[in-house]
This record gives sequence, structure tokens and C-alpha cells, in this order.
Amino acid sequence: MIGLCDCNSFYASCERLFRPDLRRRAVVVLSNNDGCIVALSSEAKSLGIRRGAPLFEERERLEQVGAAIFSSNYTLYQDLSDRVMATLLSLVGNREVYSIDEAFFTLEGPTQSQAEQIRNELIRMTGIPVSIGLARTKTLAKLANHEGKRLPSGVMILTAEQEQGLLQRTRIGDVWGIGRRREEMLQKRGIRTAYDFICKDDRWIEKHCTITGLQTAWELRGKKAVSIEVEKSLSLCSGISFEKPKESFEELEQSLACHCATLSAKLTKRGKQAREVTVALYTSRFQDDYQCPSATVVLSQGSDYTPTLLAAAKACLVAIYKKAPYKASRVWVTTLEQQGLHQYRLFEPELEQKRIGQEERLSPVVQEIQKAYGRRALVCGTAGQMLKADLMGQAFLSPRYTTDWKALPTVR
Amino acid sequence: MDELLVPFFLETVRCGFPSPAADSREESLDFNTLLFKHKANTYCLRCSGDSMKLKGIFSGDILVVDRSIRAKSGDVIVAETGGAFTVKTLLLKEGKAILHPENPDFADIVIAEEEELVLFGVVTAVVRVIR
Repeated sequence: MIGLCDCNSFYASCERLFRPDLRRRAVVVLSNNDGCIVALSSEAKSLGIRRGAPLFEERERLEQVGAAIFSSNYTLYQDLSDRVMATLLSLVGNREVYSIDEAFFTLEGPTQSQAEQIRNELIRMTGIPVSIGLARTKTLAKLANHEGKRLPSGVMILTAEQEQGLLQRTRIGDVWGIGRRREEMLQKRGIRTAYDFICKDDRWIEKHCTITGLQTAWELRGKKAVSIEVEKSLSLCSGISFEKPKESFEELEQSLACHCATLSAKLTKRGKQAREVTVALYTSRFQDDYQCPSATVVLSQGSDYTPTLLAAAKACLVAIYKKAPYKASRVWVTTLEQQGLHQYRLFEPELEQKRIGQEERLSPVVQEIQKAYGRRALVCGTAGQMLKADLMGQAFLSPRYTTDWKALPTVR
Repeated sequence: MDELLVPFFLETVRCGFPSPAADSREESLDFNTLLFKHKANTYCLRCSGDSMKLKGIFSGDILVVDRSIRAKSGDVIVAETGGAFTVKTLLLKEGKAILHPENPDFADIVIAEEEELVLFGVVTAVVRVIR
């Protein structure tokens, strides 16, 4: 069977792990710049607070009940996510990471007690509560997991006989892969539940929902259409919303430098090099003259080296820059190739050869220094002393408990 | 027309006598292998106070805490009491759990049978950097 292991209220659970005083208190975590509530503990959910609600609307209510409010501490969440994923792998022997708090795995002929044991061990060993759903396909495992979250055992094994009953109780919009637009369209055609959906014939589904909708229908009928496969990332992105709009070329360039440093670290960690760099700027969506200029530069060689990525990003910025109050900037790297596989052109211009040689010698040195002394120790001149985190408004940030010697949790 | 791509070799061939000990080379000592037996389940916490001083655990020490190990009587453990973490020796006697400080100035914390002991993990090492 296919299992989905999903961490319960993941960001809120991370904030709680080193704060025993918050065990029974409501916890909420805010988006970048502390704008909206992106994660809630079950206590916060039971107050009727919704995910996505702006902080200012709920702040009074949260303070009244003594809720703990946190800015997003992605460093902490990623570290704890890596631990959960590594532990799941050690317990089950396989897994496919789907997101920061979810992973699929396969388990042959699971029994209820076996599944509960995996869940309990995972919780004991990591300190992060999880739920497990098992079913014949990924899409059904998602639904089973959702059910499991509501059970005291935290585990739901969905047998083929139980599928129809569950699909009849599941709103079509709650099915994995059915977005809001598709939900509206299906509702208009009288399809309210997942069961209504799979009763339509393949041709009808493909006509109205394309091949991806048809795959969802197959999965709901118990036929595997989305296979468990190794994560393949085809692009990486680093983006940020500014606290205050930025207008000047220099400020925008600085934000791009932070993105490039972030992407360089991500590429290096994955052993990848990028061939294309894309930059986009965004003005406020709530203003009439909303703009989002973008440009792409193709590199002659794949690179994971910050100065090379930054030079490309800067060339993009030069091409698209116009003075305006930008609210956000984003950099993508695409066409990722395996590091060290690069192909030299037979008649490489001499200057280019020299640059690549330089990069190959310098890049590992930079990485060593950053590994030993932290990413702040050596940054591109353009970035100044800034890292991405510095650009965000984070008034309620918790310590980086697991990645900073100076921030270890205290025990008496 | 397609570009012709050829690989380019950076390795150079070195000449001279090979080291007679080269085959016996091993990785040098790495404290990670000593301190982090279960890396994904090990957390570091910092000790504050001297309730464990007779065990050689002092204020400011870094405690290496492994969550994957099952605690048994006599282990030094980190547990939650009164909304905070505490480091004590765990004693299991007649179905009762006792959090025993290694310092006569402190009293035992007895966990009654109906109470649940919330264990954070087992302390496997203490790290003290003295300079």
C-alpha cells in the first residue's frame, strides 16, 4: 500500500518542541513579514481562527487567550523536517519527500498495529506529531491521512471496501489535485463529492478536466496514476516580499544578491548547476498599474557560483529596471544539470576558459569558508552584510535552536 | 548545425615516489561519530544550574540528548516538568518514576502513578569547551 505521513500543524509543532510551556497553549505562525497566519495549533484552530487570516484581524483574540505568536523560522522548520524525513526512512526503508511536512512511502500488507507503531516511534524519536494514511494510491492515501488526523490513533488504513463510503463523504474540493477553479466548474455540473466525480466516464472527465483530472479519477478508483518517484527538481526559486517598497536599482540589486547566495547554496547542496537565470520584480497587486517585469539570461556553462549567478541576475535587472515601487523580487534558476558533467566547447573563447577555471578553483574555497564560519562570513560585495532573513520583517522570531550553538534550548 | 561538445580533463598526471603509507590511510577522528550516534534524533541543549554537579554536569555544559534511545533506570534524562526542561537521573522504583538530582541541595521529583512523565530524551554525552 501507499502511505502518506503528514506532520500535524508542522510549523506550530516545531515552535513547541523546545518550549514545554506551550504544550497546551494556542500557537500560531506568521507568513513572511508577519502578515498572515500560515500555521495554527489545534487549540488555535478551535478558537475559529482560519489559516490565511491577517494578523491584525486576529491579534486581539489571540492575546486574550494567551496564544504564542511566531514569525516563520524556516531554518528551524527545515532542520526538523530533515530529521522527520530521515527517521521515516530509517523506520520504513523508503520514502518520497513531497513537501516540508509530508512524505509518501510504500508498505506491504500493513496492519493497524504496525502502522501505529511506525507513527508512535516517529513521534517519540523526533518530537513532532504526525498522522499516517495508507491506501491503494497516493490520492487515496491523502484522503486516508485526512481521516487519520481525526482519529485518536492518528492512523487510517483505507481498505478497498471502505473507499466508496469515504469518497461519498468527501467534498470534491478536498481531493488532492482538484483546485478551486476546477471545483467550481464541477460543482456547477452537479458534482459535489469525490464519488460523484469517479462515476463520470473517462471521456467526460478528460474533456472537462484534462488528462490530469483523469489521472485523479483513476487514482480515486484505486488505479495508480501518480507513481512514487525520486524528487526531481527542475528549477529552484528564491523570492522575497519587502517590508517597505524598494525603488532604487541598488536596493533591488542587493535583494538579488541575497537570492543568488541562497540559490547557490541550494544548488551546491543538491550537486546541481543552473544554465538559466530568471529575474522578476513585482509592484503591489493592489495598485492599478500592477507590473511584473521579468527577464532571463542563458549561461554559457552551468554554474552554482554566486558571482556568476549574480552577474546574470544583474544583467536581467539592467534590462527590466524602471523606477517604480517594487514590493517583491524573485530569482529562479532553471535547466539544472549535474555538477561536474559540464561539457567544454571545442573552441571555448580563451577568456571564458579562464573564467570557468577561476570559478572551479574559487567555488569550493568559498563553500568551505561558509561551511566553517557561517554563510555571513563571505558574501558578495553587493549583498553587503545582508542575508535573506535580514530583508524580512520578523518581530516574533524564535531562536534557531538546532542550528546555532548560541541558541540552544535551556535545561535546568 | 549542432555544436560539438567534448569533455575536458582537469586532472594532471603526477610523477614521483608514492607514499608507502598511502594504503593505510584512514579518515581522521570525527567527533560526530562519537557524539551523534543517531544524528536525526539527537538534539543539543544547554544546562543551566548545578542540580547535577555530582554527576559532573555543570551550568553552561552542552547536553547531547538522544530521543531514539529507550530510557532505563539510572539514565541521565531530560524531561518536562512544570512547563520547563529538567535534567535529572531517572530512577524507576515500584512503578513510580523519580527524577533524582545529583546534588544534596535539591529534592527528588516523584512522578505519581497517575501522572505521565513527559520524557524529552536520554543524555548520552556532555560537552564542555573550556577555552
